[in-house]
Amino acid sequence: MAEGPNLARRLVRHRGAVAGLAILSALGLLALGAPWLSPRDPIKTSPRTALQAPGSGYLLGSDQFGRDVASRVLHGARISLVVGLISVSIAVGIGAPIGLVSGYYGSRLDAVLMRVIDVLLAFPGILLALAIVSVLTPGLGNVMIAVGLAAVPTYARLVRASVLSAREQVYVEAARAIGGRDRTILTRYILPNVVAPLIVTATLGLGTAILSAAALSFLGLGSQPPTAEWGRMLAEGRDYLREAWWISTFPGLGIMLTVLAMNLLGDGLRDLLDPRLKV
Amino acid sequence: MPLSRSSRLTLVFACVLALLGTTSAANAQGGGSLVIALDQEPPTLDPHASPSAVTFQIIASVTENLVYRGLDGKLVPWLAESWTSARDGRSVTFKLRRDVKFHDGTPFNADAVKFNFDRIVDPKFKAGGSRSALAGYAGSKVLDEFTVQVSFENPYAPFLAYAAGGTLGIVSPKAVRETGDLVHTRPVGSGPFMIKDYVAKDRTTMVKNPAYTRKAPWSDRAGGALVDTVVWKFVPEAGTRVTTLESGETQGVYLVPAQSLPRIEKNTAMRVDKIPYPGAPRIWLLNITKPPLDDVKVRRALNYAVDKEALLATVYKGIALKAFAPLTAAMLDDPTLRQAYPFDPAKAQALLAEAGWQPGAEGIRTKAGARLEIVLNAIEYGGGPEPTAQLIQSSLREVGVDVKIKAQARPPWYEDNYRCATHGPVMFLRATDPDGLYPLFHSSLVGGNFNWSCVKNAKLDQLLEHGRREFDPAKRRAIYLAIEQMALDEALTVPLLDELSVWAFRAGVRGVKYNFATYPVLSDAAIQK
Repeated sequence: MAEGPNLARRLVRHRGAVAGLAILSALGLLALGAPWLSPRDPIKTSPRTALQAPGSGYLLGSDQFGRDVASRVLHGARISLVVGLISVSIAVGIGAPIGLVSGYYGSRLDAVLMRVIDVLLAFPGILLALAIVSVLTPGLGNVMIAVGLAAVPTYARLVRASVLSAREQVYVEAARAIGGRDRTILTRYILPNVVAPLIVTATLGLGTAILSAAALSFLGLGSQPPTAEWGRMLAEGRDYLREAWWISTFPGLGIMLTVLAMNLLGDGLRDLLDPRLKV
Repeated sequence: MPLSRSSRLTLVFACVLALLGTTSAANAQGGGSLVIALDQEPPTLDPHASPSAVTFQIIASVTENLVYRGLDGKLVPWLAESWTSARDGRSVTFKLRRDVKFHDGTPFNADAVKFNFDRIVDPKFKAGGSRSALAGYAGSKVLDEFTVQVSFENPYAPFLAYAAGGTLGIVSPKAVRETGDLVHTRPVGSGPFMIKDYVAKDRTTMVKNPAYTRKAPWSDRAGGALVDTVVWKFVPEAGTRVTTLESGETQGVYLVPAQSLPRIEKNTAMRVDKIPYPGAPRIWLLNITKPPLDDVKVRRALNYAVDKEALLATVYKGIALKAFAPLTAAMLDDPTLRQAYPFDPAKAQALLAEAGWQPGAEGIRTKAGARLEIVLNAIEYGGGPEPTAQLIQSSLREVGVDVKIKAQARPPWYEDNYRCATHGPVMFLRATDPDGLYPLFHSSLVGGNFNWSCVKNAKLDQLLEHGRREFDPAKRRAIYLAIEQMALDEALTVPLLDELSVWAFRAGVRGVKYNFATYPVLSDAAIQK
């Protein structure tokens, strides 16, 4: 296991991770400051100035209803980052305990839990999310639940695999020999050993979650109008590509940058925390 | 129906004048293949089963009707040579042409007409829009081989107008009996074109009917189609559809989106036809049973608050006109209707205040702690919900109404309308007779198609029924005007836009004509090389 200060020093030397962190921090600041940084109200329509090209009047142009694209992109960053964080938290929050319990206790419990997980794994994540959100009715909250639930199997499997190797370690045996209770052993001795791959996967998973949520909104299952959400902006601007490329291009760039940053950071963390995962 | 449709004719004349400067269809070369892109795939091509306009756009020159009605609104002979309405208004007797054969060789006669109409009302048959066109159908009597009498339980004035509409197109009885479900993709009519194939999600092809030697009612010459084939391609995405026209992949497209229209209109290699639709405009039916819309003051306030100019300046720029009433101006126009609700947010504010809704937090009005929230039922079209929804939402926010857009797929959208579950949908209805108001407002159609205002009003019912019985054109007009005025006074709807049927063709395509429903009839169409 890498030491804290040591890890930070190594992270700073990793070029990809630094780039990822820089972009993410910038995005985070923009998202936090959106209400103050936005030139205009993101949902205020202004029909007489619809479809203005990027320039002095509208920094990034205006959309078909005359809404300011720059303000919408900024507010969209808030939504995407929050959606990513919450979905991944749901996925880790449910997946990790399942993996821990399943891996540690093994036998019949493991078999039952893992068969359920296998069934879920058989569906592509986005398809599973699509099915869940259709059942729950469209909406941003349900998209977070759907994307989160769809990623649960990944984390459950990952944690279980790490637990399987950790529980055979001598120190775990020692802990058991001195009469440590299961809960203590799980949280104090095993959990720290699975944290590294979990952080790496969760960081990479943030990017995927943001992408999935945007995809669902693109399909009309996520955020509801007039919310400024990147996926929905892409969809709404799709028919205007020839006449007003800026409506979908800027939210598209937003998605691209965010996911790129998450992936760079995730790759960096993987290099540092868990060299075995290197491909 | 000699109702005023001056604006409609003006536009048509403009198109005609544009054509006169160049070549007429007669001089154009024959042959070739005409490819036209549509915005939707039809649910079925069976005229009797289809609830959807796109079916009739495709088969307008495949199946024929007893009577024809062009853009001038006059009823002229088609499969029937002449007709007489009974004095009591309960039946019409048609004298049929003797020289008509269906595409499969079956002769057309009185039995065929009876078979078609009986099929539509057969409870085992899942009829589309055709069923309501034959409201109160009592039966058809074959008087001799080429004379048929169609009867109704009550006097039924709209029948002849409906007999000219696509839903009552006549198909080959033999084909229906023998091919069963195949009729869904290959209706066998008697028109100048025959359906050749149907490829789901892609296209349908129709070919020239070589046996067609008659003079089509829209044509000034005898004989069949000039082009050999017409291919209808289904291209839902508007941007892509327009691109196919510009690249030459298609020679025509239906529904040019507002944002592409200036580009197409500027292009000298293209020509755009715009014809106002008859029927109901794009309209928000207000569910008057669901609070706060049970208060007429709130409903009137909505009418004053919705900024239609905003729609006409953006997503509907150049492809619609302002709507004033539950029928389009092409169907029934009157100065009193135009004055009903000017855009007046101040008046809307005053009405809402009068109704007890006071300004509250975040600019949304409240009454006894409840926020003024309205749920608009909107179809999700993939690229976003119903295009008017977001602008309605934003104009109503200005007067303190929070509109929630319930964007959903078609089946749950219908379901909510049947159950009067939301504050009403934005919809449109392509009727060809002012009787189109009957399905919108008659109390018997709450929970069905299309009384989604959920209005049950004895006076309104009486007027709607009276309109069906009245044959005198002037009296009919007065009845439907009264209905419209009542609908406006009670604010049962928010009329939004009289849409235009917008077709763009490459300039070399000549001779495309349109029937009353604004669907293209193509036997005179030709491609100039």
